[in-house]
Amino acid sequence: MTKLCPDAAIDAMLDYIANSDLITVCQDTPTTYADATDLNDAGGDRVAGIALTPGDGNGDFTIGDAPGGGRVLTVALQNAVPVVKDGNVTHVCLTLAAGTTLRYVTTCGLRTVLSGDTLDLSAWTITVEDAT
Amino acid sequence: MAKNDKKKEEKPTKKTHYVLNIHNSTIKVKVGLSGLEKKND
Repeated sequence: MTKLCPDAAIDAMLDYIANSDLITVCQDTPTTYADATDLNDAGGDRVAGIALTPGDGNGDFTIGDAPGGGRVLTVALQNAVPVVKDGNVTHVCLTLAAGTTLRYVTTCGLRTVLSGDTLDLSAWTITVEDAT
Repeated sequence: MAKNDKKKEEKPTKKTHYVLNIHNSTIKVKVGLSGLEKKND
């Protein structure tokens, strides 16, 4: 017997994340849209961020087959993202302004940054494996 | 004596460029029957 979660079902989840229009780099652990988007020590945790083009295949997000099964969403590299607040960054968030929704949170290598610095954000992935 | 109008030296703020390593995620979908129990009528 084999369990099946069709690609369309997994893609619906990944599409939700890929419809984000902003990536932010944060101090602490954001759990809300306000945490992820408001400036650090001013009601939120954000120290840097840059607008993204929402949607699969539009430049910043790509959904495809994952090696080993399942589906994978790749978020593209972002170069020279300006740091606007000092902080010790540990988390990266995807958000959508319409509806003010927090769509995904991941971690990153700890880095202490100062306002005026710039960041290259590496490409990264979210993989949803086949059902087991 | 000439007025000392030497401008105060301003130290340029050094801006740094970093590469941030963002961690990948894996989500596992598990399907099971936990919660179903045999019912004896």
